Amino acid sequence: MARPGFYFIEPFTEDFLRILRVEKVLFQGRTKHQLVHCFESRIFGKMLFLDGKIQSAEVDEGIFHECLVHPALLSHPRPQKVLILGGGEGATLREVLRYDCVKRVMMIDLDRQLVQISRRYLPEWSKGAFLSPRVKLLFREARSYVEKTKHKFDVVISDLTEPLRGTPSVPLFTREFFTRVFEILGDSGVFVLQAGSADPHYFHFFGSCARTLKEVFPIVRPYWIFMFSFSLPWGFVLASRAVDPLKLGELELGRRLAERKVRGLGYYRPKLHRTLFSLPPYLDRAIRSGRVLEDKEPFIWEA
Amino acid sequence: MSRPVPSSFKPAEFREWHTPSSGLFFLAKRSLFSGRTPFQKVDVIETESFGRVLLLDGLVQTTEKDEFFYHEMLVHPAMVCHPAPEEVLIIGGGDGGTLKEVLRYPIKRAVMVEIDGEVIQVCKRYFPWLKPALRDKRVELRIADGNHFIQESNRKFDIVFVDSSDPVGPSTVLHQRSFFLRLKEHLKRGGVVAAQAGSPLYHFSSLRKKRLFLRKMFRFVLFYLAPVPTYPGCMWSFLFLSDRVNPLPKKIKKNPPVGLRYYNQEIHRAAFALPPFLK
Repeated sequence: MARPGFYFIEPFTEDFLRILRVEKVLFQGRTKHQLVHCFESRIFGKMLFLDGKIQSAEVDEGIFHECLVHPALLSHPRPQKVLILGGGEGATLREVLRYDCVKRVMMIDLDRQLVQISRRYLPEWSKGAFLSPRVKLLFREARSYVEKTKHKFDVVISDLTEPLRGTPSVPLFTREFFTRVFEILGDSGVFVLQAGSADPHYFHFFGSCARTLKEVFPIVRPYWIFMFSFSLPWGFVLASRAVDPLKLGELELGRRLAERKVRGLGYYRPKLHRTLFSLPPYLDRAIRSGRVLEDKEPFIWEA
Repeated sequence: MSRPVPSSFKPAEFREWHTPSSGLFFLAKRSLFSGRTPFQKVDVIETESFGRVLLLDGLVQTTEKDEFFYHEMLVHPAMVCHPAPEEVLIIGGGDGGTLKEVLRYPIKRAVMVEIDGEVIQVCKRYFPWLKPALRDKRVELRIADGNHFIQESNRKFDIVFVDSSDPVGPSTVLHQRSFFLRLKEHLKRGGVVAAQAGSPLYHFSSLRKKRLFLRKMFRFVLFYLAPVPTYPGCMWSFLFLSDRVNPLPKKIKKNPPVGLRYYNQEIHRAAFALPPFLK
């Protein structure tokens, strides 16, 4: 029997909802750009919802952010300059800063207030990462930054919200944008993005992102994990100009982790690296049947 | 996270103004860290005389060399007088000094409620005692507003330490009547509150106000004093609050833990002696 109290309803689709008991509201309100809810729940710990959709939860944000960051940063022979698009909670930043070879991280997030809220209420995510002198944080549109910047980066990480209708994320998942990302990457540059759910019902976004990246990058390696707090399998796509993450052996990955002084990981390990990239047939089909996303017809998340 | 310091770094002067015409200064060998959290400006500097110094919004909070005066005197009078403390709450205390002293006792649980999670990350890096303290299984760290925590939680404690910053600025609420009223509800039978109470010289009027309302709340309301060389005026005051535990019994039954540098039983008695201007 459910305990009495306040419950948060998160719609997955029009027909399918998830109901969660809220132990404590840490923050709820609207920033200039989105609706923000920070809750504490018993099974997932602290949770962050943006526009009503789960972004991350204390219990497994480590899994998500480690899997977003480490395959890309380990694939690159010597990542020094990293660009993060989005990632306002600061956990992606935290994972990037584990690498002592990383000299400079540029982080572009549109929502200044969200960063303040995260630092205040979810400090477990950033663990002080925003205080690092290696970090430069800019609050502006990722698209215009990427189009105008003269910098070159070794790794670009896209940690953006899903392209819900009318949100600023929509133009950040198109062939034109990915082409510009390709141009600002160095010779062995690597691009990685979180690409939405990879469940058997709504895999179109994941498939289309991978399909679109194949138009731009010579090497495209989609991968996935299961996210407990999302109650869904989740997709990522790594796209690279020259290096192939699948050509890295366990020994080499272990050596790179040690050399770059990356310690204290809770999920990612060299032994797991290859399994991340093993996709089931339905996801292969999802990529084959994916659409090439273009500025004139971008992806609009409708699940 | 450390800021690379050029070899040509000249000793920088850090001044803390205590009154418009006086204060304290340090010549820093180097600046170890400087940054801004959502709550405050944080600096860690390295000095010849006091080792590493933590400044919040430009005010000295802790130094490696003299932290023991403050932390031992906040913690041990209450811990020694309480017959068997098991559950301890620390409000504030992000630098971990108070926690370190509390963990010297065989307690069951220490809950630390600190508002600024990023200060903890900085201190973990620069003050050697914090990391091992946070690894201790008895410790439960909560990043939350101490005032909110006591409004929402219904847990009870044997001893509550209020390790706040000064009664001016963001910690103002932790020095007010409503806060202490609620705090009392979180005390178990025979519980004790020990709170830092500011400088008897510079925060004199706040001390007097506090004594007035606290006397209506607790049977034992005693100020006690200790020197803290790097705090304004050097002389620092603390509050001992309880309904059942008398901090000045005929015989203090428990011995303090070994290895302390300032606190002992003679100091305990002497600390509760007040000069006429504070009586």
